[in-house]
Amino acid sequence: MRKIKSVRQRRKIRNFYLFIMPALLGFVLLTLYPMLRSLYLSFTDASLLYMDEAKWVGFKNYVNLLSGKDSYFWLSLKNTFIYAIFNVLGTLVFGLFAAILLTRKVKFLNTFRTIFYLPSLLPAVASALMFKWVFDPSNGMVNTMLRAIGIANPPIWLESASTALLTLILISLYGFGSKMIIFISGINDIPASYYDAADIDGAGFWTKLTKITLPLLSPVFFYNLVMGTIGALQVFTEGFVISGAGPGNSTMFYVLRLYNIAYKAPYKMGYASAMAWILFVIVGIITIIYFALSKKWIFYGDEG
Amino acid sequence: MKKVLVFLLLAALLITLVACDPTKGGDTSNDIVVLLDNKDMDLYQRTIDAFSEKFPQYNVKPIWTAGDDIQTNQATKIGNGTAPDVIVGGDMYTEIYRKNLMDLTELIERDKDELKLDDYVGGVMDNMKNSKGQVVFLPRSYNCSFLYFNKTLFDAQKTNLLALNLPYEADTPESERHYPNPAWTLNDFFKAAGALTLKENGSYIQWGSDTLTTWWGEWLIHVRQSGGDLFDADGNVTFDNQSCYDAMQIMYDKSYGNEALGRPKITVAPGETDFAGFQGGRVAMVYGGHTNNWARYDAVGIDWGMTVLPTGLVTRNGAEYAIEGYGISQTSKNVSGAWEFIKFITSEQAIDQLVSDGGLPIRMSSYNKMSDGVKKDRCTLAIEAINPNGKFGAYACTLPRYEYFVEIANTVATAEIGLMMAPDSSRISIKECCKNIQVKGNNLIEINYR
Repeated sequence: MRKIKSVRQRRKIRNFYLFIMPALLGFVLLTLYPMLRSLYLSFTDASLLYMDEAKWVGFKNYVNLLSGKDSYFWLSLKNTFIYAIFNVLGTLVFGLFAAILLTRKVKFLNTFRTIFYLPSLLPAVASALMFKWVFDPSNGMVNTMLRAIGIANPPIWLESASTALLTLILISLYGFGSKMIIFISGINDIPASYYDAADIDGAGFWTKLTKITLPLLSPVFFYNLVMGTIGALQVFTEGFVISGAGPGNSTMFYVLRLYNIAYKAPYKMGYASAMAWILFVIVGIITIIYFALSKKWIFYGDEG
Repeated sequence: MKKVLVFLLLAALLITLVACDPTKGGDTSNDIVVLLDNKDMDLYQRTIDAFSEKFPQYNVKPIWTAGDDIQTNQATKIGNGTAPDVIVGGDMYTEIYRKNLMDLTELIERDKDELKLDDYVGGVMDNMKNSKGQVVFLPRSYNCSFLYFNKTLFDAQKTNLLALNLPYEADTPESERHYPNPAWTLNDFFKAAGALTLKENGSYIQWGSDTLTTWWGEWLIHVRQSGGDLFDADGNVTFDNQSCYDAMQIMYDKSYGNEALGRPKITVAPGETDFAGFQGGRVAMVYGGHTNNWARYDAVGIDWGMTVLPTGLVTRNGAEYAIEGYGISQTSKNVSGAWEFIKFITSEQAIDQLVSDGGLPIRMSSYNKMSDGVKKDRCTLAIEAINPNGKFGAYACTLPRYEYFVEIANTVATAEIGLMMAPDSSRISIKECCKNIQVKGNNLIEINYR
């Protein structure tokens, strides 16, 4: 009897490994191995053009990056942080606002939800190109409208180093739909009895929002915050397609700089790998800080 | 079970490592892989078809790529161990690809009769060598900077232009004395462009000149014509000097004008309408330009002419002279096929095809076959312009060969010049711009190349 159980157990274990094998192999081959390889490369002077001649240089790449000699490293980091802060805050606020509106009982609810979510489904390159035209200083839709309402000298958006980053941030807010959907799902999970009880107590919209909806939505908000931050720090497409890092490198994002170093002249794969690992550490630290602070403001419904 | 799992993981890792081994090329010995510009697909395909007919034993596998992406995609293929057999480059890539390109010297010596090296114009073969003196590319085409002008727009302002008393060469027919010509200086260029910059109801409706800040093809000319250069003899960036200040002043004045120097505003500034550039038909001149655009100008039906650049503040010399070439990867598994292919694509037959499609002949034999007319006149000027012993002397200058030239020009110089040209509070001064280019450029060289 004992032996039979053992065979079953073994079969279970075998099945377990067989089922997780595709994901595990994918992780090992497509994530773990490239990560370890890039960690090794970050300590070498590897060039994309002669990878097999890479020489060990120790921490030289990290020292060069962090010492301040490479002003483009710090510039790209600054641009990325500014973008990430406003993108994450903006999409969270818009996403939450839209979710609150779209969980109320109104006509054509699903149509509105679809309309708001639709932009998130557009390929990033397509929407990037579209916005390039929308913000064209001479003939773009935005400036045409601004001129129509009497603003004679509207901003030149992507053509000025003063406004290009701001323009990309504005463009990025267009994609709040994915966060909105998660917020809607979170709001729908809040038991209706809480609101019924609040209604009996005479609570108004604002009280219900601040005392029920937002506290119970905090885990969802936290999820969107963490994922949004990680995504925003890896911003690439907007800078690559719309602004090409310009004007005057004002939209040179970190990952774009990394890409340009690795895949364009100077083709420095070792240096770019060091940049990748620095970003990995930065993202890791920010996530740890988020988790540490989350204990103070996240409310899980089953907590006492 | 754990053993099975460990075995499977190790096997997978091994497969990946083998797949990533750059010595394991994936091409068979008959294949010739090459990245080609999809914009010229039709012309290349005809050349490939003719090659395949002559050499049926080889199988050309073109990877059609957008022109701007060729170098990135080619480098990526080299990096992942699948280098194309034929490497697309030219004079400015001799150092960048110095460890990837085969030395062609022996093959050239062997096939010198077939290659007809004397047939090339303007000593282009000298520019196909790397710093060790090895020939690494065979040349197919070249670019040289000129002053391009729209004859229709010039004719419409003929009276105003003649009133400016601009110089012209002694043998110029009366009907062409208002056109740009080799007697012009930079001041004449500004005067004419000013007369050709037109406003209607307070808005610009035509520009006297095009301008380009996103590529070295214009600012580097002004730097060189003002007596400077991007690099000194040791390969360091040298930009914080009077010659470069003067050159940047010219760039700035084109977009904003400068009364003190007698330079009217002649071209678009950021935020203004560019009328789709020279090809749009409402821009009178292009300072520098590119010979690849000839066919495009013809295609949109502009009546255009060209002449050498005006004499700058110090010299006329400084026009960009860049040569496109084809080399062979050191890891190619089909060297003989790749050699036949690059010989063919740079042969008289292929250059004849290129010329018939509106291109510039790099072989005298192809030039000699051209019928007399405007097209041949343009090519004659181009051949004269790149001949250091010809009428215009050292007018055409090759680009810096340092492997960091592209990064310094694109990441550093272009960005700082963009800021110097900004129309708002983000603008930096000319001296700041030049100083930044020198300091930031030299920092990058020190970090990444020394």
